[in-house]
Amino acid sequence: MTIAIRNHIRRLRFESGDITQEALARQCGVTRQTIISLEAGKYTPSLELAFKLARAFGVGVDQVFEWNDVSETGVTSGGR
Amino acid sequence: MKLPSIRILFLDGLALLLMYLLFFAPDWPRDTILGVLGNAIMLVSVWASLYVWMKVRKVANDTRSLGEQLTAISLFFTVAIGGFFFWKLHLLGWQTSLDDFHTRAVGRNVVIMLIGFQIVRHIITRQHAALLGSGGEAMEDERDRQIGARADAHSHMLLVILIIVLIVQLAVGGDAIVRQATPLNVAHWLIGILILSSIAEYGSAMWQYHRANAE
Repeated sequence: MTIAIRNHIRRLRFESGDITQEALARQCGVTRQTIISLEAGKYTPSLELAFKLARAFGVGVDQVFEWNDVSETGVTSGGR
Repeated sequence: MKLPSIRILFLDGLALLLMYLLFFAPDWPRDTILGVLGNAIMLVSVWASLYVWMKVRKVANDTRSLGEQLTAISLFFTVAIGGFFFWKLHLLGWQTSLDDFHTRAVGRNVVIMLIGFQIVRHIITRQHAALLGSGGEAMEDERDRQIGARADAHSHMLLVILIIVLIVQLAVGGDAIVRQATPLNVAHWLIGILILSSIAEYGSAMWQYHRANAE
């Protein structure tokens, strides 16, 4: 079974007035490289960081992250 | 294209000279690298690597987290220490004592590299903190800690495996192994195992950072 968590951090940064990766990192108390890894889909954050990111954008966690449970049958469930 | 300054070229040359003397130089002039001259070159080289890092730190900080920079430096120093230790292990001999010139010299050089390694780590961390200022960006975060924890687990696994191998060798290796297993030699083997497990830790962390950075 493949579990994929996608995020919309890059889009939300631009929609929230071109917040830089550095500014977002400062707001969430992480390094800029972690924001880069998140946007590239290379890192799945902890629940705490997920909430911090959502708060930084002023939206809910489910608007920042999207969960796709792709089973072997190819059926996709979950999501926003 | 801007040409590198004379100072950088000089330091690069110095670093190459040190690498040659440490790993490839013949034993003539006898014990050059193990003596005072070798120690002096090593100290200058540690300072030089720090100086070069100071020159490129802005670029390094833009593209790599502090954790990744420290991991790269740690891997570099650990491989250098390990390479030197295993390369010069034959100088220690099998039945030697702490009074032996080579034993003390190799040990002293390893200790100098370890101290230089810690000083470089400390200065880079302090410089990074000063560069970030009080802006709020973290120097280390959960991603670094996760990578560190996984690398630590890999290192621990290798350490256990190597210790078990050593125990089995000592137990069933017969007279040939037992004759070589003087207290000092066992200490050398354990030092080697510690160096290998450290290399595994930093290598694993670098590999994870590389994967996280790959597009």
